[in-house]
Amino acid sequence: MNMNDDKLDKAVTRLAREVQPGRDLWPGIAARLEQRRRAARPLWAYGLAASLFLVVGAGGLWFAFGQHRAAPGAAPEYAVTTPVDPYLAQRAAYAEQSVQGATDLDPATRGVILKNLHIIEGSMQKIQAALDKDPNNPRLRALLYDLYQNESRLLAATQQIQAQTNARNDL
Amino acid sequence: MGHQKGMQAATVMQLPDAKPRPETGDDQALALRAQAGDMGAFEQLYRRYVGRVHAVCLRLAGNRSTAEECTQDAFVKAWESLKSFRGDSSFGTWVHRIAVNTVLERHRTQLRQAAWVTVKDDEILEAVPAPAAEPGHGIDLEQCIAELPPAARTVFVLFDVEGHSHEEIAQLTGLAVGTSKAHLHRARQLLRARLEA
Repeated sequence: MNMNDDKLDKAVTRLAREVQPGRDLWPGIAARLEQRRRAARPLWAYGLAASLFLVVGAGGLWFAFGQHRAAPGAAPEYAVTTPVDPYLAQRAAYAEQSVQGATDLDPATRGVILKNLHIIEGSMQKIQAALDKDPNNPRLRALLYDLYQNESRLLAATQQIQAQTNARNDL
Repeated sequence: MGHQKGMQAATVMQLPDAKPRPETGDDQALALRAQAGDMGAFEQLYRRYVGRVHAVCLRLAGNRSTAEECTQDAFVKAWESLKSFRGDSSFGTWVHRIAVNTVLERHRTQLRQAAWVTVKDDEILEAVPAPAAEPGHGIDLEQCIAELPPAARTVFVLFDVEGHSHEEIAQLTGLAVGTSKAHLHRARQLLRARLEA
């Protein structure tokens, strides 16, 4: 190692570990974070709206499909009494429990979510009952699949609302 | 030169005077609160580490405005990635790594070119007059580093200042290990020549 190496090494060890920026950068960062929060906020609302729309749509299709099936012959048995599918019942209980557990949500929001959840779960039971009679019906399968997705969206939206409520409470 | 002005405008704190490092446990608690959405806790973490993050951004970027943008970007990315912070390393180390990646992402194209263009960069550097200030002092070396060609500066800062290995630098920058070594050699040569001047 020659003198110059030594000089360079010494200069490197003298370098500041911290260099403060010329201005306070936090206001800019805080504004960007707030912007992101605000942009994220409507997502749950969109999720909820989408869920409602799909539930209503699925219900409409279900009604139309049921009417169509019923017209040519005798009324299908599943239209009269809907047997309870134990797996779906368990899922519904679990989903309801998770919504009930979101205690930071205001009661009105929780009520809306639960109402939607019940509509979805009820439709699921009906479609499952129909599928038990007609297991290869692609339209019924598609409807059930849509309802599973609606349920997931609704639960995800619930979690998001809960997280945002917590965040607001922390501030 | 714009970046020289930038280097001077920044408030430099020498190592011996650096603020004592906060307790890691305290950082973890703040990070946990920040993970739950507490922006106040995140601001405290920002205040603790902005000097360190800005230092590495400034040295890698070579000019103040880019360094400030990268510092902001790094903290925004840190906020967005807080869920992935598990506390395996300290918050300071974690955010520092994010900052390095943020600057390198911006310089990716320059670094890709630097895999084969080096002579041209050196010619540019040699045409820059040596600083008039007294050599050997921290701020002079900062200026000399800022004036290095981008790839040489990146490798020098990552290896000699930040303590990364050539293998780590290769991973971070996409340069080959041999190319990283060549850039370091050239950077040191250029800096020695400056310090001697």
